[in-house]
Amino acid sequence: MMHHATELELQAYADNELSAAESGRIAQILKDDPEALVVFEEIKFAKSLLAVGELEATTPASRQFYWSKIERAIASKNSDIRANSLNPFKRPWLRFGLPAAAAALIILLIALLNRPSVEPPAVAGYFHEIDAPLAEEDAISFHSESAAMTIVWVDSRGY
Amino acid sequence: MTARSDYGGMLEEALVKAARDGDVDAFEELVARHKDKIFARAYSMMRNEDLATDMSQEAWIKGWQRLSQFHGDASFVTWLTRIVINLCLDELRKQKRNRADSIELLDEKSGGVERHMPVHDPNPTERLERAELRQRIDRALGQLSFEHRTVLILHEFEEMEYKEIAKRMGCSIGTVMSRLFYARRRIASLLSGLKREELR
Repeated sequence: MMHHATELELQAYADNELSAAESGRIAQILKDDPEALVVFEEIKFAKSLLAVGELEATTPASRQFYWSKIERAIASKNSDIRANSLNPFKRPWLRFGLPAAAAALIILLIALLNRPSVEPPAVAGYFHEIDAPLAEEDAISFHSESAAMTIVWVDSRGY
Repeated sequence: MTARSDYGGMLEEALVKAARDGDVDAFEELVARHKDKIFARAYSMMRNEDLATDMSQEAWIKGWQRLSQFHGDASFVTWLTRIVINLCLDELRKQKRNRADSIELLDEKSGGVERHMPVHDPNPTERLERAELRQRIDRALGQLSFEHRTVLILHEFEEMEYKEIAKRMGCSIGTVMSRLFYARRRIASLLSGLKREELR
C-alpha cells in the first residue's frame, strides 16, 4: 500500500508544485511503480474533469433589485462618513488627542504640586533652632537662607 | 458628471477610477457587468442561492469601501472575487462552529472511496456535452464537504497555489494538499461512471 506522503508528492507533481529535482525523482517513481501510476492517473482524471469548467450561475434577482441593497448600504456608509467629518469629536486625531492632552495636563499638575521646596528642610530646621548665645557678645552674624548657611564673626579682642 | 447611459460604453479602468472618485453610477455599471461572476463564485462555495446573493452583495459593498486599496495589480473582477471568497470562507467557518462536522469530514482520510481506482482515460469528456458535464460536476461538488469543495474551487477554478490556499483557509500547506487529494479522489469516484455512460 502506498504511503500517503508519496500520494501527495504525486499530486504536487501533477500540479507543478515541485522543484526540478523533486520532479525528476517522482518521474522515476512513476516509471518504476505501477501503483504510483494508478494514483497519478486518478489525479489527472479528476483534474481533466474539473478543467471542463464550472456551471454558469446567474443572480436570481433583477439588476435593479440586486443593486438596490448595495446602493442603500453605500448611501448609509457615505452619510456616516459625512456625519463623522462634521462632528469634531469623531475625528480620529481628536478622539485620541483629547484624552492624551488631558492625561498630560494631570501629570503636569501632579508634578508641580509635588515639586521639592527650594530650602532643604533638614538644614533649615537645624539653623532655625540655633540659639544665639553670643547676642550679648561683641559679635556680628550673617545668615543666608538661599545658601543655607550662617556665618558668625566674634570679636575676641575684648577678652 | 457622465450621463448614466454613457457608462455602458466606458472602459473598466475608467469606471473604476470614476467609482474611486465617488461616482456611484460608475460603480453600478461595474456591478452590472460582473455580478453574475461574483454571485457564481459565492454560490459554488455556499451552495445556497439566498446566502450566495447576500455574500455577493456584501462583497460589492466592501469593494466600494476598499476601492482606494485597489491598485490594478490584478483585474477588478479578480480583486472582487478574492473579497467574496474571503467573505464566504468567514461565513462557512461561522457555520462550521455552529454544527457538527459533516460525515465526509469525519471520514476525510478514506474519502469514502476505494483505494484503487481503475486507470481512466485522461480526457473522458470529449463526447459529452459540456453543459451536461458541468451540471454533473456541479452536483458532485455539491456532495463534498465544504473544506474539500473549497480547496478544489480555489485550486482548479481560481488557480491558486497551495501556499495561497493555505493562507486563505487558515491551515497548513500539508492540510491543503491532503484535502485536495481526497477531494479529487471523491470527485473521481462520484464521476467514475462517466466513461461507461459515454460508451453506451
